[in-house]
Amino acid sequence: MGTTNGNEKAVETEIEKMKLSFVVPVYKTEKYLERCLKSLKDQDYKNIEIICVLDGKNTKAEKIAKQFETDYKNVIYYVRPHEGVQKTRNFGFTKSTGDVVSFFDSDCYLEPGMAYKWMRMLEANKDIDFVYSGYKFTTGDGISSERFDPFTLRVSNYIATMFPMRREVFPGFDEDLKSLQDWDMWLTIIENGSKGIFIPGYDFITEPPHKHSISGIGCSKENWLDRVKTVKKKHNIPMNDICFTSPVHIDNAIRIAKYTSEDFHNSPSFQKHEYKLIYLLGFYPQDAIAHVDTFTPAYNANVVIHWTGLDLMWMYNISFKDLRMLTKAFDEKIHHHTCENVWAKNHLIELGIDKKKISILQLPAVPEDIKPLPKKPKVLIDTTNTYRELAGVIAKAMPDIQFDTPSENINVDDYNVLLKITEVNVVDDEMKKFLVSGRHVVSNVQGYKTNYIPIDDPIKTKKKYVSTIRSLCKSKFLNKKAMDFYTKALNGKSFKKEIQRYKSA
Amino acid sequence: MVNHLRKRYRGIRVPKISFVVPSYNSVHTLAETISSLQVQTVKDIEIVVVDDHSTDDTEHLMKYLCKDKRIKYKRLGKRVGRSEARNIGNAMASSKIICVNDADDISFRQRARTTINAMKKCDVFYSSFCVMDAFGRIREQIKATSFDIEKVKNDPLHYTYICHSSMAYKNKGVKYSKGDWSDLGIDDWKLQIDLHKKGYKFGFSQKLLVGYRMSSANIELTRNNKKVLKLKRGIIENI
Repeated sequence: MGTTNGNEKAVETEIEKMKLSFVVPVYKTEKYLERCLKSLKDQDYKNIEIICVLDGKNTKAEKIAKQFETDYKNVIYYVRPHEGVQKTRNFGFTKSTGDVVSFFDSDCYLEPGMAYKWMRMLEANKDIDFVYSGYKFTTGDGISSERFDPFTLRVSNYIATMFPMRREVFPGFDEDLKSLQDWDMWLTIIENGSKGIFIPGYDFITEPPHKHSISGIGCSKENWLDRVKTVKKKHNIPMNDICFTSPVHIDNAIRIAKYTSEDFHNSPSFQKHEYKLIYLLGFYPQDAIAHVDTFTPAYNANVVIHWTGLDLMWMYNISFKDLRMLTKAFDEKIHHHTCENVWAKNHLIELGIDKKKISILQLPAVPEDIKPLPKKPKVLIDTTNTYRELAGVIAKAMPDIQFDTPSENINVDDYNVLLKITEVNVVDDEMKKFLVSGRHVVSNVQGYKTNYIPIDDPIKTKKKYVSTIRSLCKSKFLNKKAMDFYTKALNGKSFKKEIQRYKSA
Repeated sequence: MVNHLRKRYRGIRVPKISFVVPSYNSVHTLAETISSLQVQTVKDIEIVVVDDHSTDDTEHLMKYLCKDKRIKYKRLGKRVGRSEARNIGNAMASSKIICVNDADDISFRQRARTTINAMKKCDVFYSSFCVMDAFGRIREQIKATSFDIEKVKNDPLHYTYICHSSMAYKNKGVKYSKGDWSDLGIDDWKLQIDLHKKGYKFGFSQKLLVGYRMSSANIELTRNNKKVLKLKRGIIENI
């Protein structure tokens, strides 16, 4: 035992079918070059080639590259006159032969084992053309990425240049663009119908932005907007006025942005923007740091908070001092508040928010294709902590029916009935989803067709819940009345009109 | 029950081998693990992933991967512990042979082929394995030796010298023990002893088939060894 030459033998058992090419452009980054090349060459995945392209003469870098070329078979370097990153990378691509290409900047270095991870993913999943994840700075901060969604990628870039893609997919870097070439490239790849996948983690480590960083040439904070505009213009992406954001209800925010054909951004005020309205879904005081960008200058945008229901309950958990601070900040920075119903409005007034600033506005819920009810009855239970026991008792009373607890991606088609017991008297997003697609709902929330059963006497309420769930599970037809009512009430049209009002100061 | 029915109907094909992958909060490695199973040289396999109520992005990732129809994915409604998750996975598996593969370990390409061939002669099969670090770099190889119950008696704190992730056994009512066994991460040790008691035939191969990931998250590094010894001794003395 011990660290013998186990490496080679183990790798023999794996046949490395696909070749991975690294294209490494170098411009005044000789300081980091050795570290970079070493990390690539030391990967366990041995079927790789490294193409090092010097963008302009650089004796120090040339010396290092030459050393690597003589020592290792699969390293080649070229010296070219100074022309800029895009041309250098494109030239490197023409010289590469791999099935998968990664454009790896010379001031970064790759974590060991990542090449194997990428290649395994790309080999096993033929329909996926690129793999990506987050990265770290040498200072220790990590930048995670987002799930792959073409819609959100059209608003901002969250995929770094370094990540690998199949050779057939690569469209070439646009040589006319001065910056944001990587975003432009990913956009063209997506427009050609390719798909990617996000694996959580941090794959490579990079220097924090410095003078000579290869992508930062000719960029500054002032011309950020112009740069974004040129890319968006190229891909026919409209510059929208409204941006949805949410640290918690991300999926919901993305869906609503899609209905209304507006933007979704995780942290819109991170860079300069031209939005007129930032619409925040849900305000949870415990992660107020996530909301910092709504309180700091939002670049002339109005900020509107939509209170989804549960967040109102959270506001009662904070101290009086914090609450006063928050309400003060609301007065100054927040343009308007919206909520789902009168119950929520009363709560907001109780919290000390100006009456005039509050209005009732229901978030839209547009059904996707509706499928018939499943043959075997299945019930989804969603409760808050206080009512968990009651829900358990109800579930135990009906052993012949299958009960599920919610997870992140619920497929409404699998269920007949939603059982919702909460302190929040609001028809929330999940209930809307069920109602709109014709499923039954049983809850202690007052609303049209929600089968309202109040919770007072524990034994009686249990009996009522059990009997109603039983009768609803027997019905084989969709809940047509609720479906028609809610699809009419919650189509995005009125919502679209309403939010336009908040744009003007 | 399901297995029984499936075998009766000739129309439904039973895959040659099932990989059971219990996972809890391990998206970081799960993608690599599953793709290493998908590219096995034997294509007629089945991959059962039991998600023990993870709180991370596992579900979203699995939605992507489930396009491959060989993958069966089940998310549990609440946390049940790793031995129960494995039991559920074993019940879901439809083939005769079950291959254990934890969510952070990697199977090399030949594993399914060699296992199927070897299982013709034995009931339990294991192989040599590589120890990898958190990044997946191979640190050392550990060669498989024959299963010797005397050795286990003398050195109960250690392994039975079988890497659990390299194991495969026949799917007939094999069950992992729950409770302390599961919490201390020695349910695999118990299973091996149980199989030995039942009179299963052990076989092994010197080929490197599995990469076993050693990281700071491994339960062996933090568990209460006194308790482990106590439990294990109780079993050993009865053999």
